[in-house]
Amino acid sequence: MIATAASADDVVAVIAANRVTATSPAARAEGVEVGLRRRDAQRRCPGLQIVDPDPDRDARVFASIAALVDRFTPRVEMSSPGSLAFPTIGPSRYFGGDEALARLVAADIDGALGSSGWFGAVGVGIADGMFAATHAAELATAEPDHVRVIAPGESALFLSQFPVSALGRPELADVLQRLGLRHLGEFAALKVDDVVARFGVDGRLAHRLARGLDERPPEVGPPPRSFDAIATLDPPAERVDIAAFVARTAADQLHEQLGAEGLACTRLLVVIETDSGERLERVWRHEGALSSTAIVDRVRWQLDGWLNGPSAQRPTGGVTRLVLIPDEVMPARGRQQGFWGGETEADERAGRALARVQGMLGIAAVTIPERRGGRGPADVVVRVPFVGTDSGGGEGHGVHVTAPWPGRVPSPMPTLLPVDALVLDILDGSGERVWVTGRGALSAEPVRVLFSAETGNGVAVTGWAGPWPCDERWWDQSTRRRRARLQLMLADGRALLVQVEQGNWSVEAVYD
Amino acid sequence: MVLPAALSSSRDLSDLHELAEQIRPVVLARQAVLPVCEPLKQLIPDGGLVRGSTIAVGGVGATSLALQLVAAASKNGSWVAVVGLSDLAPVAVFEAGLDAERVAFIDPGGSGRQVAVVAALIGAIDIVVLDSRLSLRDSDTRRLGSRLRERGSVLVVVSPGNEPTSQWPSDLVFTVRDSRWEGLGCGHGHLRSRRVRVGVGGRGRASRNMQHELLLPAADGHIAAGKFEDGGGTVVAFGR
Repeated sequence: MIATAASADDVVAVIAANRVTATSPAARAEGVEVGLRRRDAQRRCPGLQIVDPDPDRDARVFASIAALVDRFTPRVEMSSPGSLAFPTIGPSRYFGGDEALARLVAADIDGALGSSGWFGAVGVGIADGMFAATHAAELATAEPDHVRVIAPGESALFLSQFPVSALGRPELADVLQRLGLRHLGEFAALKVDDVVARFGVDGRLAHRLARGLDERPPEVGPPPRSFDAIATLDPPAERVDIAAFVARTAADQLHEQLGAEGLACTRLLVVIETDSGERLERVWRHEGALSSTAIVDRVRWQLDGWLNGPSAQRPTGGVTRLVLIPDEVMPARGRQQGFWGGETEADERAGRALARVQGMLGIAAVTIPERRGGRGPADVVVRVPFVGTDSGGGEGHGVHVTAPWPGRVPSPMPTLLPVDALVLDILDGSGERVWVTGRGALSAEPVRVLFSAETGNGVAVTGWAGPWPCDERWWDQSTRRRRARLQLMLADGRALLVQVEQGNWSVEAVYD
Repeated sequence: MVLPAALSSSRDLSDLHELAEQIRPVVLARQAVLPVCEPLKQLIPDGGLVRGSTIAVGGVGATSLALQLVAAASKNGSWVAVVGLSDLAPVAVFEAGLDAERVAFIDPGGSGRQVAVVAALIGAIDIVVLDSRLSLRDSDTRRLGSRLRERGSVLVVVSPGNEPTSQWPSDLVFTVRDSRWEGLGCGHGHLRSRRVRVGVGGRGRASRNMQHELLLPAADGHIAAGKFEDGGGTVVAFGR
C-alpha cells in the first residue's frame, strides 16, 4: 500500500469518494483508519494532509516493486497498484519454504522502500487462494516481520472470522447481514446450490471466495509466446484482392505457428496500416476455431469495408502493413473431415478462386444455393453468400425443409425467376380481363396473354391450370402475401408460372 | 499377367475389348472428358464434355438442357460456377441433380471486371456456365478460349430463349427447338414433361448436324431411350 511522497512523520491519508483508502503510519497512529469518512478522519486528526487518489502515480511507483519481486519468480500477476500475487509452488521450494520465501520478499521490499524514500506498509501473506492471501497480507502489515502464512487447507478457517463485507460486494454483504450471516464462515457453510439459487453466478463466486478458493487460479502456464504474424506490403496495396493475397501468407504462417503448439485461434485482432500512417484494428471472434481460410476471409471483409466504404473513412494511402494477433487461443481439437472424400484439393482450389472473385466483386456477388422450406419456386431454395470452403451449400438447416408444404408448386420446378417483374394481362375470348374471384375461381377461361413489354396482339394460350390460391403468413401483416398462381402454356412453346396479387398479373417464373 | 478365368475361356470377346480399353495407356485429348448423363451421351460424339472445350446452348429450354449437361459431372465431384444468369432459379439446380455443395452463382455486375472474373474461375472450377448476355469483346472471348484450352475447364455458354451464341468459337452447339409441354389441359393437370427437338452441331466430328428428340424433363423422372422418329435421330428421354 503506497501513499504519497512525504516523510514518514507526516500525517497523510488518501481519500477517494469521501472515504480514506490509504494512510501513512503516523496517521494510523493518530487513529485514522482505512474506511473512515473524511469528516471523521479530520476530527480524529485535525492536521491530516489529504491527498487525492492517482492510480497512474501508484502504478508508476509500484512497477519498481513488481520488478523486485520478478527476481524471485517470473510469474508475477499484478491485480491493482499496491497488490501483486504469484504462485509459490516453484519458488518456495527453492527458497526454503513458504515462510522463508515470504520473509525474503518482505525484507527486500522493505529495504527498497526504505532506501527510495517512499514509505508504505509491507505485508506478505501466503494462503491457498488469492482472496485469503490478500487478507493475510493486510494483517501481515501489523506483524513485526510483515509475514503471515496460512497453512495449506486452513484458508477457509482463517477467513471464517472475517465479516461478510470483506467480500467487497456491498449489496451481497447487506443481504447476508440481514439474513443473519455476519461472518464469512457462516456464508461458506451454506450449500452451493442454495447460494446459486438465491444469488446467481456472482453469489457463487463470492461463495468460492468465502470457502478459501479462488475465483480463478493465478496464471501457472508458461508465459505466453507471441504468435503475431506480420506481413509487409511493398509496393503498398491499393486493392482488396492484392492485400488479401498477402494476408493468406500471413494467415498460413500464423496457423502453422499455432498448430505447432497445438493451439487454435478463437479471437483474432487484425491490424492494417497504410503508408500515410492510418491504422485500422478490428477484433474477430469465431465460435469454433479460425482456419487460415477463415482468417483470410475476415481480413478481406475488413479491407473491403474499409477500402470500399464511405469516402470519409477511406484510407488515403495503400496498405503497407498487416498484423494478425491471436487474441484468444485454445487447444486445437482438430476439424472433423468428411468420411467419404470430405474436402479435396479441388474443393480448396475452387474455394480459393471463389474467394478471389469475392474480393473483386464483393461478398454478396458469390452465392451458393441453400434449401429452405416454402411453396413457391423462389422460396424452396435461396441463394446465400459463400463463406469459405468449409461451409458448402446444400441442405439448409431447420425443420422446414422436410415439412410437407401443402399447396406447393408441383415438380418440375421452373428454371428462371425474372429479376424484374414481368407484368402481363390475361384476356378471355371476348377480350375481357381475367381475374380470380373471391372463391378462388377464374372469372373466365384465359385465351390470350398480353405482355406489357411486348407489342402486338399477344400470344394465344394453349393450356392452363389453376388458379392455386396461396395465402401465406396471414398472421403477420408485414410479411403476409395473398396470391393465386396459374400455369400457362403459350402457343410459342413457352410455359409460365404467373401469379395474381392485388389484381395485378405478373410472371413469377418461367419453365425454360 | 494372369487372365481371369472368365476371360481365359474366351467366353466373351466384348469383355476382352473392355479390358483392353481400360488398360490402354495413351489418353488422347478428346478422351479427357467429364461425364454426362446417358441420353445426352448419345448426342455428343466424344461421349462427354471434353476438357478445354466451349459449348453453346440456345433456344427455348436452353437453361434446362445446360443444367442437364453439367449435372452428371457435378455429381462426379466437379465444381460448377454460374456466371451471370441472375434469373436462374436455384431450385432448378437441385431438380437437375447437380451437387448443390459444389455450385456457386456469381453476379459479375455491369462492371468491367467480367473478363477478370471468368479468367479467375477458369482452371480452378471445372465447369463455368456463362450467360451469353455478358458484354464481352471478341478479343476477350479469344483470350479466355485459349486460357480454357490450356487449363482444361469446360465453358457452357447459355442463351435462354435465343439462338446459341456465335460470339464464342464453340466446339459443340445445342439448339433447342419445338418445345412442347405435356400434362397441362385447359383448366386441369399440371406441367409434367416436355418434348423438345435438339439440334447438335459444332466442329470436327460434331459438324454433322444431327437432330434428336428428347424429353426435357420426362414425366417419370427416369432416363429412357426411345424410337427413331422421322428417320432423323433417336428419341431419348431423361429426367429431372
